[in-house]
Amino acid sequence: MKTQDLIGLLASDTLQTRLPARQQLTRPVLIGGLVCAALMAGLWGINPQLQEMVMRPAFIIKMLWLLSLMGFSVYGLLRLSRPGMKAGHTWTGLGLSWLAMLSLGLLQSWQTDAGERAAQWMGDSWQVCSVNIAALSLPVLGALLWALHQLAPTRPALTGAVAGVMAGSLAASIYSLHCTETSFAFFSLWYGAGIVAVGLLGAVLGPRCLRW
Amino acid sequence: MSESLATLEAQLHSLWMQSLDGDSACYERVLTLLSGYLRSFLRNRLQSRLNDVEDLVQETLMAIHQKRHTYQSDQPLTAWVYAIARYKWVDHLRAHGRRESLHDDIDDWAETLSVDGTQDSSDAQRDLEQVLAELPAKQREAIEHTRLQGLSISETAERTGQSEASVKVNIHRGLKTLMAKWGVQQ
Repeated sequence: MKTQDLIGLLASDTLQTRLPARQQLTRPVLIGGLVCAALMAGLWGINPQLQEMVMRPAFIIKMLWLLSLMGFSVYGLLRLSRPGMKAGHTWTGLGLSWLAMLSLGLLQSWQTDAGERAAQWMGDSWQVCSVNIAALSLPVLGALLWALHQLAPTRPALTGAVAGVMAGSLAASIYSLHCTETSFAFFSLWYGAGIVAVGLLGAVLGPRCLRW
Repeated sequence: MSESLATLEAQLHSLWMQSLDGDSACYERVLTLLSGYLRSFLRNRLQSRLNDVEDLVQETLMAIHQKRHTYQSDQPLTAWVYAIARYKWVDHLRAHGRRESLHDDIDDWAETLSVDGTQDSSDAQRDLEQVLAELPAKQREAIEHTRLQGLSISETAERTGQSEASVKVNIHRGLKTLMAKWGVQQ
């Protein structure tokens, strides 16, 4: 076929049915988030002391931290899903957010008696926390990868990784409604590990799922 | 950015924005201009497989068409097109197990853009007639009347007894099927 014929063919298609990146990414986050919340409530239940917990600075700071991780991931996804845009400040933002939480953890640990430090880093639930967050994030990650496939990511591994961090942070914020931990050290270590694991999974899945 | 490149960007950008608003004559013009640049870009990079150049030009044009919702007007159009072309080229090399150097940067693209891109287009290896024959009748009719016989949407609607809206939808669906048959992923 002549290229000019193809061009004529393409020009005759005047319907523009696809939504721009922002709208396409909102849906998977909402749907994934709802599925995730239902799973969390069904599997583990909401922390009975939640009402009292949400007023504490530890909880509020943790949520702000997760929000900033989500903010930087969304910023990254909106850029990486469009050809010709680089990741920009995505990794700097994500890295600094995590370092901020780690510094709070170290500061807290430094002010605590040596005997209690281990308990602060390990909490009561270190065996399950990262695994739970990673498991909860799967529906969000799946929905995000599906939506990104409709867009045009030219760097699939990187895009997958950021999608993983987004899914992990959203799952972590939903898991927070169940989790009873209150130390920054614990958050930076075990929440961080769960989110990084999902990021790595996304980096592996990206090149396989995001071809177009 | 050199002056000529900036002028070119401005020209392509304004044509492109009009195209997105539904002006199909502009769209045809901007795609034709882009196909010239894509051809010289890909010809420079596929020197051992010049037969594939036209196929890849067409594949890139289809990708541009299918992914046009990912373009935002605040970004240089040439950078957006370059990224798509590069992606398709790398994908092609991977699929064909080529060991040609992947080294590439946007300066070469700027060079490509500054040369005259109106070289003759040759035939690609995909056959339109053959795939058209496999489409559902309504979609085939809509495409044949508008494209191959050059009728307008309303004339096509009159001849085929479809409404204008459904002619548009059938063209859209037919193209989607064609591209899927050519192995262009959504």
